[in-house]
Amino acid sequence: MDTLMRGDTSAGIYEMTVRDPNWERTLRLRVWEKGREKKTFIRILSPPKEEGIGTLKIGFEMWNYLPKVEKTIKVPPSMMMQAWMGSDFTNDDLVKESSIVEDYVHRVIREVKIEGFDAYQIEAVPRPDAPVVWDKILYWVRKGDYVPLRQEFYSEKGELIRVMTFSEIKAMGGRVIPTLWQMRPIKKPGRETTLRVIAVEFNQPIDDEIFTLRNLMRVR
Amino acid sequence: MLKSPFIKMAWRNLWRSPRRTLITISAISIGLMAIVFYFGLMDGMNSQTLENNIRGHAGHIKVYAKGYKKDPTLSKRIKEPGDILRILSEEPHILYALPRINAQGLAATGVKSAGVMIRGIDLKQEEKASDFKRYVREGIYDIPAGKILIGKDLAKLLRAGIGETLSLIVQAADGSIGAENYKIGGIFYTGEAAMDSSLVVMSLEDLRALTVLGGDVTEITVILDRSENTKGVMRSLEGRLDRKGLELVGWEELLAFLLAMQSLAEVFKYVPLVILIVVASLGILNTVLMSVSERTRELGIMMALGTRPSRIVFLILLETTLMGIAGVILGVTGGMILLTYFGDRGIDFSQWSEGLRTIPFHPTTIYPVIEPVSFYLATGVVFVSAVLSALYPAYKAARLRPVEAIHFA
Amino acid sequence: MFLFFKMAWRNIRRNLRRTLITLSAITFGLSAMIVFFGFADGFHGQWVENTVKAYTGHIQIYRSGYRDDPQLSRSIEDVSRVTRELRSDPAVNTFASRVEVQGLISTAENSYGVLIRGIDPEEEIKITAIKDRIIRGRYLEGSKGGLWAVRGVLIGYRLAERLNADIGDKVVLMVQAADGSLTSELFRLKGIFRMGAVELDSSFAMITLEDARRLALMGERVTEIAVMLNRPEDVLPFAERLKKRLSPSGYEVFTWDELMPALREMIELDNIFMYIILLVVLVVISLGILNTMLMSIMERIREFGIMMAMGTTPGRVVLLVMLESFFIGLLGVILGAGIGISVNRVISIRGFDLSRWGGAVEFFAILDPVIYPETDPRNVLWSCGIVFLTALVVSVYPALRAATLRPVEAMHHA
Repeated sequence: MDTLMRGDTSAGIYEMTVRDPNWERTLRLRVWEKGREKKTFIRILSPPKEEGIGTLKIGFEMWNYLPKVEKTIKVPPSMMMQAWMGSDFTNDDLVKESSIVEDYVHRVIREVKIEGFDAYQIEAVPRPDAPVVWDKILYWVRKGDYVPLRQEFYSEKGELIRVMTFSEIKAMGGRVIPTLWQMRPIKKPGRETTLRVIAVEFNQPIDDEIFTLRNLMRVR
Repeated sequence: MLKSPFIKMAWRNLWRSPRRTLITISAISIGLMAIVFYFGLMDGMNSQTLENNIRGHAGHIKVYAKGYKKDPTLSKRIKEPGDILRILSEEPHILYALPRINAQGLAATGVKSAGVMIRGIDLKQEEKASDFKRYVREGIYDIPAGKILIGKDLAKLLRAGIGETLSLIVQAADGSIGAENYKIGGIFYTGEAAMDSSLVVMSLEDLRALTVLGGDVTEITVILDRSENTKGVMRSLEGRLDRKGLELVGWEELLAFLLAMQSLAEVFKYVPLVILIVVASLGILNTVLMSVSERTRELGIMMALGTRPSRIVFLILLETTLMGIAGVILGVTGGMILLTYFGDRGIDFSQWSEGLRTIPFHPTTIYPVIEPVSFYLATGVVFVSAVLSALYPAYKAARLRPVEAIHFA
Repeated sequence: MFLFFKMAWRNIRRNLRRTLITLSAITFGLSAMIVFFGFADGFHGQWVENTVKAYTGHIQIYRSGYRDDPQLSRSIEDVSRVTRELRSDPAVNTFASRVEVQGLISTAENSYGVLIRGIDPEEEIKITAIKDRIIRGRYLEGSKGGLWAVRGVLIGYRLAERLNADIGDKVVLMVQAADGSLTSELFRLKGIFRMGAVELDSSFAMITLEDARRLALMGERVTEIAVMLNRPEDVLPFAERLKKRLSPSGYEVFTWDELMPALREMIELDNIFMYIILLVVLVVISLGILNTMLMSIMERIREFGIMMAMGTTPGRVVLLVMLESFFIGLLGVILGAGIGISVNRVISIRGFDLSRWGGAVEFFAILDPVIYPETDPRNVLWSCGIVFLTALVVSVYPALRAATLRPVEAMHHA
């Protein structure tokens, strides 16, 4: 599944909507990724207040650039668990996204029908030493093309903490992917983060220059 | 009937050896003065330290939105506090109701960054209400818009000084990222490590803009006229504020550690009293014993002439009581003079001990103030023990056998 | 000369009760002050010890510049060099190396910034009382079982509450390692402690030194070494010695009062107040002695008159009177000191529990209400000296009064 979404490179435009009991915001993002090299670059295109903010991730390190104050900030550990730009995705999620393969042991539990599709239910249990807080993650992927449909994150107490659903599966950039991702933290009612893929291209060459601090600070 | 001749006698007896009487009286009065002043100093220091903490940061009562204590984020805020501020302004005993905004954020210079607690306050109002101003050592307290106050340790950590720019980044109440640059207008030093290394103070309006809070605040700090009224005010407000979804926290909870420390030290306050009483009593005992033995013949004659032993006891006790009264009056007067004199001017300890400033919120100038309870206690105990120390000599006097006594050389 | 001694001694014994009462005033006053000082010193000493043990140790050794700018890169590399110095100094009781680094602790539900302290579990219990303060779960053990052993972490009860974490729960610690990268590792909550200090209970996480070194990519380095001495008095001289030996090699040595000046100041302030009390007690004792002596002189006016008529010089009279108070003073001081010191000794066996009168249970680790009085020989000598001198000085006036009597009048005094 990881390979599905990451590939060697990807470049695209996404829209992230965060809903909170008190407010709702939508950010438009431009994202470049080199999955193998664990490099990600995100530039916020809109709204105007956040326009120009950039996030660069190389390996496990992360920097944010804020044009408003013209400062690049290396994200310290204490900020890692904080929400990225107010969403329900943490900085840690972005940084550790690819760890799902390395850190977990996967096992197919059964075949079910979900959202009208035939799917495999997979259980991912973290390796004994993996630095992750989850006790297990349940996935549902579509039979055949392994498009992810649903993810459930459980704590050791057996509580469901997060649910992520994938829908509006379309063909884009040469692949079939879900274009609507929704993340719901179960313990925080009223909160939800939605990511919509507007356009994306896979495995096109991307200039390494993009994944530099220099580029981070370059605001068009 | 009992009084007149005996009092006259007692009085006259006392002045038979004026020096002795005066020395005894001065022992009582000096001891009492010292105790009263000492208590005043201790009580004053303790209550001032509490006041400093209350006025410096804690307030007497904090008003929060329900759930803020467990989850101190912008989501648990007091919406449109106008109503509540009005209720508070009408409440007796409340001197100030200070709206404040607290927000977690990141402070960054070009090179370094640190997690900080940002506090937005109404600078003008707080200048009157709290004495935070005097902890500002460099720069100024009355910072204009766009400027901030940071703690000394934070300044050191970030390698930033007056006039330099600091970026503050928060997650605003509407979910956006708030980021602004501010110039450092002042640096404060409270001695409290947590505050000096992670507190940033700015104007309410500035922080409001940064956090997009609209008209809301995260807390209201209430300052009363007197700490004693705290419980009463809290009870009075509880019902009304609870309905509005608010909760109250009193300073006793906010300053629990300080209170624990002070209460433990209370014991030490009373020990000198005991020591002084014993020492003074021994002195009086001796004095009265000797005065009785000097008058053995005289007392013998009195008893032979019909004065009952109980009257003798009474006489001796009366003498001591008179001395006690005189000593207490002098001691109390002296003590009051000392307390009033220093109570106004205060004693400035900082000249002997520069290091006092390192103790968080400790008063460098102490104004002795005594609580009536301590005062009456000290006075009462001193007086009673002075009189009691004459019991034994009086008893001995009453047991004199008149015949032997008269023949005493 | 010897005659005078005999006379003085006899005079004292003449009115035994009076002498005894004067004596008991001095004795009580002195012994009470010694016990009072003893309690205060004991309280202060414990306060310092508890605080010092919980945070810094008597002495902290860092690499130069670390205190001003705590970067992991400024860590102590040659640990054995430092420990060698420490082991060779008799003043040292024990020392413990630590790796302290800021980080994040996360559970599935929550995460908080913490100060992560990597400790050698064996060394550390010699310094802090943490093992005794574990309220749930267990203390850390030295790592065994290599890479796949369960890594334990200890946190304070306040932090445990906020994280809603229980023994055995998964916990991830994340730090910015020495090379700047972010590392994280899985730990399990092994124990919850209650130190009685808000800071420790709400923002500290303890793991083994090995785990901390590995997590922060510190190799064999440590960020600091905390040293506890056998006797608190040795702190300053030891610090000086150590500075001479280590500063040139790029280390910094700090004493606890350099690191926590407020503590020292509060104790000094307390002491000032006590000296004031001592002063007042002295005044009251003096007045008592004064009265007593004056009265005893008055009783013996005839006697003095006769003595002086028979050729005793006024100087000798003064000497005689002062000898009396010399004896009483000496005796009083010896008894007072003896009683005071013994009382302190006896109470310090089991301690004296003040908790009935104050303090609060949650802070007992720092504010221990059970006090073990300490007798500071300097304080004792000092108090004795002052009391003794006071007794002597006070008798000058009565002595002079006796010496300036006119023999003829005196002899005719009734």
